[in-house]
Amino acid sequence: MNKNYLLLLALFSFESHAQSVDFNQLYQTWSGEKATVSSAAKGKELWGYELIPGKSCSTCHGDNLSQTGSHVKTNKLIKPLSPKANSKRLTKVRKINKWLKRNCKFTYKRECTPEEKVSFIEFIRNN
Amino acid sequence: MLRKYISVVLFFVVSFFALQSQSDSSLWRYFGGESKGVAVVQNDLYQEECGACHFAFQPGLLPARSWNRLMSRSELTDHFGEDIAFDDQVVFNDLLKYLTVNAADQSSYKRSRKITRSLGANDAPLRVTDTPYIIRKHREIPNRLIVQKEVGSIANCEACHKSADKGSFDDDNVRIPNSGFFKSWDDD
Amino acid sequence: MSVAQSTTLSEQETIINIMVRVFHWSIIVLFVLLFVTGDNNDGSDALHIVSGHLLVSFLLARMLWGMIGNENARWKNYLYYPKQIISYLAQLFDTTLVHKFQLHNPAGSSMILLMMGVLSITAITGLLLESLFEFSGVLLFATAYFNNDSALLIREVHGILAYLMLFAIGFHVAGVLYSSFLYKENMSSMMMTGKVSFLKKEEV
Repeated sequence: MNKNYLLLLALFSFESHAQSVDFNQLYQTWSGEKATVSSAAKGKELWGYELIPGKSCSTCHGDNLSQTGSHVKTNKLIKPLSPKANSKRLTKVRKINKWLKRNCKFTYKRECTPEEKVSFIEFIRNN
Repeated sequence: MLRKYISVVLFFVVSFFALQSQSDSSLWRYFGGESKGVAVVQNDLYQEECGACHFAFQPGLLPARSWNRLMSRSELTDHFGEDIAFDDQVVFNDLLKYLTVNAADQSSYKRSRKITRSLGANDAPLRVTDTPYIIRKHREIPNRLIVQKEVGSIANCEACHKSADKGSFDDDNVRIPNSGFFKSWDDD
Repeated sequence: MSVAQSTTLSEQETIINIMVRVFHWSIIVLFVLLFVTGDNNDGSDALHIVSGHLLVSFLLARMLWGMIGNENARWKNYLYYPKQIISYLAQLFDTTLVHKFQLHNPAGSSMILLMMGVLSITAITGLLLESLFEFSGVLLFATAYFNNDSALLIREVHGILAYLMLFAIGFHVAGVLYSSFLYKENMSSMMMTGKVSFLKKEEV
């Protein structure tokens, strides 16, 4: 009885650990894209790019991801995007996919390419 | 003569009750503790999905027909210029249910009732600020105070309504940025 | 003519009926409450609206009393031709004349009618505003006939009338003070007690 209980507890501890997203696996699901050394740098480059004038990632999230941003249309405050500043960031796969879709539609009026998505996530992870 | 006294006093009492009975601001409502404002948002999913980019407008601010319209496919792909259509049907269903069950025309909260009564039966505005009740409440505010940097637009409730997240939009908790101590718009 | 013009008023005779007196002092309290609550806010608070409803009820009751009540309170006593009003006003400041006590002289009566009128229209616009801005109250059906601009116009009118009433009250108080001086009578306390405080002697 005790052994089983401990096993169960051990399993649960893995589930509830904060940093549970397997990024490589995640990138795999995006048409087999892989992260490269230059992904984060590419992400940084894209961060301030305004495909639509006045709408880049940085417009709402700022260039410094540890700071609070604000929505360009509504002025609503946005909590820091950096996982170092905000422990809830990049912890749920569903949310990562949802926000990438919604925000790429916001800035590019289309979904991001797998390459773009990897670049962005790598950039956020490393800042 | 006594009959005349009685009849006039009765007339007074009846007219007062007649006026009060049709009113939201009656003595018995006041002492009976009716629900002021609108019901607060008590749904984490709604707060997250809809309150991330803008103020989480309480469902009690619009009638169910407005929420149904807003959540239609065509409106979601053009949500005030943005495409926010949901992939997750479960999330979509839960949100729609939350909104319509707690809509203004389903609520007994004071502001919800007034919003509902100010609308025609077929009116289904998409904007909270497009109901006659709310339009008239904000009509006299000078445009410069709405477009100023600290506010931005009339949709930014929290900029001035400091208790908006608690469902209270009372004048007592309104502080318009840069409007000075006295109402400065008579001399606008 | 009314009892007030008799030259032998006794101290015990009540010439102002209790209904009229209660009405008078009640609407003073209500008007102060209404003015203060209306000026600060947009008049949507419960105190303003409940006081307004009370005021309407008082006005209606007084109007009814003026039709069926005691002799002195009847509205017919307040009606004078413009010529009468003007000629009365002309001799009012003539200090060579001895002025006979008259409870409802042309000047005072006209002032009262004017105040009833202004107060009534203010009250009606107030009820209308309750429907136009709060979407509640007995005049809710009227919202169909007003758009946003005309609703705001009614609000302006309501405010102007309230200040007009204030102005009229100023005039009224001035008149009360002057007639107190003229008749050597404390008119305000008479409005409280309903009785004259002097024994009327023979007057010219």
